[in-house]
Amino acid sequence: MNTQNYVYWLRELDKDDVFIAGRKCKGLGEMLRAGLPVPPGFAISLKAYEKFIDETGVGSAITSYFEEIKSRLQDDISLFEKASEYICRLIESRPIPGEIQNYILSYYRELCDRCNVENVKVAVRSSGPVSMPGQFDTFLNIQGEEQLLDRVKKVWASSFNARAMHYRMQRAMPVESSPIGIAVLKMVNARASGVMFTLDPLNGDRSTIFIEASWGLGESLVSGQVTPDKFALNKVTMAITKRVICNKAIEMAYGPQGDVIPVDVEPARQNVPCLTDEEIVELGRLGKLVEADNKLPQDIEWAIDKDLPFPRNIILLQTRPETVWNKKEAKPLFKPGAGALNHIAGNLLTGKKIR
Amino acid sequence: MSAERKFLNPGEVPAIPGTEGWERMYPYYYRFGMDKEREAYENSMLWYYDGLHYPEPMYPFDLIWDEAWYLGLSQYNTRIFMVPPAFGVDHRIVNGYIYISPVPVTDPKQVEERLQHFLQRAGYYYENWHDLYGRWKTKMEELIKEIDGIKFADLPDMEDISVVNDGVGRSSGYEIVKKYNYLIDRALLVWQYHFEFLNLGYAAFVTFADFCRKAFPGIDDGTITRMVGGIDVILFQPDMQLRKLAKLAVTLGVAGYFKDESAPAEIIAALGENEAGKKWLAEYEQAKHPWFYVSSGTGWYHDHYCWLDRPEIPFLSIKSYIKKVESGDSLERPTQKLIEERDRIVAEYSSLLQTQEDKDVYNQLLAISQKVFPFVEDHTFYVEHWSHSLFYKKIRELAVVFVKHGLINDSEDIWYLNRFEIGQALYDLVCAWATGVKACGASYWPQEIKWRKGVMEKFRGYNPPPALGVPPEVVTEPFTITLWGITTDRLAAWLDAGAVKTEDMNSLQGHPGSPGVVEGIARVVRGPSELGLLQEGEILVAPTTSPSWAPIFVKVSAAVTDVGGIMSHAAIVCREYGLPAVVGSGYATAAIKTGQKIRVDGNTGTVVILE
Repeated sequence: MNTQNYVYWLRELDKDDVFIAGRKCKGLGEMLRAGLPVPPGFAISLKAYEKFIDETGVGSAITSYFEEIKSRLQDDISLFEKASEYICRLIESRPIPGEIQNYILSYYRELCDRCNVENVKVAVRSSGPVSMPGQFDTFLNIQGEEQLLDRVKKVWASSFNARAMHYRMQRAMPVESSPIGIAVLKMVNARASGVMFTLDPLNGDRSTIFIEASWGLGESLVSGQVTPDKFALNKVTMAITKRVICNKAIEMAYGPQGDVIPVDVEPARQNVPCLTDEEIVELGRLGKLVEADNKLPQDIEWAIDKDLPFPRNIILLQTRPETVWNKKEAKPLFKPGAGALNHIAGNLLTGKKIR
Repeated sequence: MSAERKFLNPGEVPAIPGTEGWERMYPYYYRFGMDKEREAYENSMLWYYDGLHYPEPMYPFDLIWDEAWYLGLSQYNTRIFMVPPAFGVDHRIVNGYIYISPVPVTDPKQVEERLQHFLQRAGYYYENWHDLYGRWKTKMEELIKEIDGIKFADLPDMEDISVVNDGVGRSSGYEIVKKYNYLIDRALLVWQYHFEFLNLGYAAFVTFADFCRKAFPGIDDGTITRMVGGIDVILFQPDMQLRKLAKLAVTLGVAGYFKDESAPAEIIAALGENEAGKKWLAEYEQAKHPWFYVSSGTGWYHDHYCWLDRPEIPFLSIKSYIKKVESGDSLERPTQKLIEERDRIVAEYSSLLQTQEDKDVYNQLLAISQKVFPFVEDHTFYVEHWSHSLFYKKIRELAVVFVKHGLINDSEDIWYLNRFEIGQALYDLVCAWATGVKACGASYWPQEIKWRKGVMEKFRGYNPPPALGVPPEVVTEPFTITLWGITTDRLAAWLDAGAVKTEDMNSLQGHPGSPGVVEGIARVVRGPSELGLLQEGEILVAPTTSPSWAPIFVKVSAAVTDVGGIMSHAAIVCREYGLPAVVGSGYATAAIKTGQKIRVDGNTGTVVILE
């Protein structure tokens, strides 16, 4: 384990570690430990946040600011906006204490090394210890040390956005402090991406793993702009049982502003499979793992990162239980209790429809 | 499939010029269209070409096996086990090729009546399977011994004195006729036993397979058979013997005698000159019986010689196995691993079933399928290999007598006579022998055989259409489903393919026989005599294959056949050897040329011609 307690590799976090660097970081750590590949990255702890707030005097400044406006807050909601503006400016004006800064940067450099990319682009994501979905900021496509430190502070500052403070006050939580963790994750440099169902979505066959894949980021698939390649795997034997290769004339990529834009795919790549066989099988293996962990067939978003070597290049982005077939009631397939001989006779009587 | 899409009527199949009159080579009851009534029946049925058994046109004599199973299969369905919705399978010949047609029971009342009998009769067999199968093996071994005991020798100029002194009262002429009739009788009996378990075996297996397909629509046939298949099946014994002999040659230090260029006889002679060699030869002699009766083909044709006839075949693989042993290969089959993998697959599928009721049915049907499967896998060795090989040997003994008396010019000409004609010719022969004149057949058969050879040659150059007549709505006959793999897709593919010339096809759809994907150079092998041409790593493309081709499966990277379902020999052996296979592709040997690069996808059942 670490000798410091400001920055952690995700793998160091486990299911009881929600108060080290928040829920998201803990969740990512858990997935890694279960053998499920998430984007490589590290976590900045609640301790780092607290030390920053303390040492820079931000904490005491906030306390005295609130002392002043407290009595008027109940009547004038707009004061939250003003407070937020003041506090965010305050936070962004203070440098991160040297020790913490050194740790963050050394982890970032190590991450660049591990990904074999100079100044690797990262996502800087908030990771609160309690679930407050969507309240804090997340920044994508962050590149270089300077940008990284800046966005770390911006995420910390986002714990003082008006919504968050109002939320805390209504629940009688301390308004002037709310430690949150941060996940710094490699931006997936997607060569290909798609979805995977751990059953056949067409007929509910649970012995099949079904994959749809196209070039670039996953948005083209979601928005239906590209007909994806389709692959099926036998979940038990892991043999690839179906490949339908489609024409993929566009792919989604990050534009100069970090937005997602469609780009033409050069002709040579349009009609070739966007996954190799070993990637298909590895995806299937991971799908089985996720399904076993969740005890239900899953609907999984994934991407292939072109910066990383196989099998580390396969990244799971999101997983949730499949919704259509999981809800269907399972009925016995053959009349129960009939005995083998009756099943055989019944089957002979039915025969095979051939026309 | 739309109703108006149909195959040619049997009567519309064009004749091959120069073969007119071919019908007389075969019994009359194999002809299509004897009269209007029969023609109407024939036109209303689906007839498909049985290329699974008959990749080559029928020699008049080899038709005996077809006649044997015409009776054998059908009687068990129709008269013995009373399979409720299915009578037998009808047979015809067109242009030298066999067409067969499953006959359904159409009256629902009759189906209902038959059902009651079926439950009782089939139930008895399923229940007492192990006991009955044990008795079956004994029956077969006794029968085979009887066949082995029949010897044909030339007729004497004068009968031995013992005929007089012992008051025998019969001549060698009478005896040889009797022996021939008895041999034919024994051959037919082998095929009675052949079907004693097979119909029920398939019925149980089909039911398990259908349950699996219902529960797991994406499951492939190869995986289903892997769940019920045995690990130590008899058909792998011959090959196991060769591996054993190869290892022994290395252990005894006599591997050096097995030079690539040395013929078996030279090797055997050289080994006989030293002690270690003698030891090896003793083991070799022991391995021969019965395992070297394995046919180099499927056993269905007289020219599918067995290893005893053609020792160069086993020696070829002993040589290649020796090289493997010397390079450190143990040649052990990973039996334990195969068993563990089978059990894992069985358990994992079970765990994917969603209700306890499903799991119960799955377990029941799995248990009964695993019980019947050893017979399904093993009976071919007893029948098509051991019995057939012995039987051909006996007919060749008789052929020598025929040559001696001028009925045929060469002993291999005997196969151009059908079994009834041989009976007639033999009677002709003994009468002439008794009378002291020349047999009439000497003035008839040599010319007739010459003409028949020409006809057979023309048959051989002809591609029989895969099906004739009208497909029914439903097929209920278990063999038609399991063995020949007649499905909607198959028929549709045949219909589609019929519209394209075979030489213009660039992809073929068959059954996924054994999983895996391989690209490589194709080698079209039409029969066992062409096996020697196969090069390391080539893809075998054959009308059909035999497990006794095992030695060459060490060499090839995949297999494609024209005909066959998941239980066909090619599919079984490829799964065992872990080679991708596409079976029942319909036209592979016609569409693919030796030397072309092809991709075989054993997971989906497709073959693509790449260049």
